[in-house]
Amino acid sequence: MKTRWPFRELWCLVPLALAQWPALALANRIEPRILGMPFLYAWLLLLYLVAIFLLVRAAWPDRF
Amino acid sequence: MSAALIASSIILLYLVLCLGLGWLSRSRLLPGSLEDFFLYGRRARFVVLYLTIVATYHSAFAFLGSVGFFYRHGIGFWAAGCWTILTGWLTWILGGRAWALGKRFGYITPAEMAGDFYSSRTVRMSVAAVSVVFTITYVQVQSLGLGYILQVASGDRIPFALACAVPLAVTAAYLLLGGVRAVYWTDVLQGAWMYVAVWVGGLFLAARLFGGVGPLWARVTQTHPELLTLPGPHGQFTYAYWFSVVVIFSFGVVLQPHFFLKFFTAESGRTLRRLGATTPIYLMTLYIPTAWVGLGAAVVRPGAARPDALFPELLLQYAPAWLAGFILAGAAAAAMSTLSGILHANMTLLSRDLFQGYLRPSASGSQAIRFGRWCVVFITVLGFLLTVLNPGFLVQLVAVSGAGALQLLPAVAGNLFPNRLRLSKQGVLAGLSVGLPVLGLTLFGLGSWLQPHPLGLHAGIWGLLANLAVAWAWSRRGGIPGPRADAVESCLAEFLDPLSPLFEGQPK
Repeated sequence: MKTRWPFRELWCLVPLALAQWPALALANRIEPRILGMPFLYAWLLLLYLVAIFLLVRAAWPDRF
Repeated sequence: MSAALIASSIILLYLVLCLGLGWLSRSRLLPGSLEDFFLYGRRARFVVLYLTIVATYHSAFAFLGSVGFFYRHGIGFWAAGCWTILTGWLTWILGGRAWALGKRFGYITPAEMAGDFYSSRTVRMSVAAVSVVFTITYVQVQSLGLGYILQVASGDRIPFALACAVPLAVTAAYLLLGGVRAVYWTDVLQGAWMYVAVWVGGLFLAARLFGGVGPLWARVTQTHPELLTLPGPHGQFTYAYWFSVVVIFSFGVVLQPHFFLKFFTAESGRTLRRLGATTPIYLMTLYIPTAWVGLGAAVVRPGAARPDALFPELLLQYAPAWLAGFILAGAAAAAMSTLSGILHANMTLLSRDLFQGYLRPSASGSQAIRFGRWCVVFITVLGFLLTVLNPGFLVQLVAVSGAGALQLLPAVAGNLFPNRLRLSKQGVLAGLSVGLPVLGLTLFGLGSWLQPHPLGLHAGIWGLLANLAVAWAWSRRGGIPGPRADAVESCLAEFLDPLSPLFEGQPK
């Protein structure tokens, strides 16, 4: 007998990957005065919140 | 009355409040019951476990160390959002499985669980030893933070050694009085207090020093743009460093005994699933105000000698004394909640795995608890001495502690995914005996032969890679997975079935 890998739950973390690498790349290449640092900050926050929302939705399948 | 006196008095009042909760919880103890003293009778519900998990995760490091990090290295610390969410995910995935096995087989510690699965006392002792040794540095982190807070709050009137000793003694005292119930009750108070305090402190300083959060960002952008780019002014936040801290502060922290033990205390598997989904909200958003404070401090206090002490120093300079005292008590709460968790975990491991598992297998519950209480006294004194003799930056100390616990991953994962990973006792032990020396070598380097943290990856990652490779390869040489693999898989399959009574926490 083998229990399944947690792939079903893993996809909730996709926004993290979306948040991290482009954010780091952006921060490395774009002058913060042009883009505005709060943009990057808010963008990271938004994607983190999306990841949390996906986790919450998966944890309460009957409510969301 | 001076501001320092008011602020330090509020912190001391808070310490008395914690002691009072410890005293109250004492009356609820079931004499001689290990599950009650060490595991809250496996009855911790969502709200209590939520606040105790977040309060345990966030320590002096979050309140003070992260401010110091934002101050020195800039916005890169925002990767924090990533590791806090991974921590929630691991609570769900690993925590739920560990809870199910604990419930079914009556495990009290992760070392006991691994030792039983691999049918090996050596595995049990190895897991317990690694857990205890590496959390001693975590005691040092909290003690150091508490020392900073009380010393700064008193306007340097309380000497550093005494400022470390008093909160350490209070934490040990309420743990000795009420066991894990005292820890959980105080964690509820501390978890709520520290969250309110850090947000009030961050908003207050942003408003007082810059006129709001928006103007703060504008000033930092104008005067310190290097703090808003990566890898930061000192080149700290490279991709390799980012990867290292994300792994260490998620997997490493979850595998630390003070975090992992909490999984066994949950009332049900569903509680852990919901905690996994919602604790990242608290964990992540706590770093928003500390970013304001750290980045703002770079503007108003360039060249600070002790960046980790900037938050309390700024509060005492700019906030009314009562507000500074309230917020600094929140910082003390962050440190003490983690400290009590560590002391409780070490007490549990040493009583259950060393005393009952090795030294005196026939010992009663009361004797094991008495032994554990002496262990708390010993570790508290040791942690105090290490703090006074060897202070260091909080972030680095936390990383070393998490890196050590990370080496337990093959043993724990092999236990929780037995027929998938098929790791054997010999494989796990071989992996650990290679991973730990590799961790040491890459942490300290070998003169000109080997630099510390080769290629920018933290030593903990090198240790884990070596550990995993050896455990995997050795297990493929003919070793068999734990003889209880099928029983464990059967229990886990039942747990993963949402209609199972085990999922709801009903006894089988």
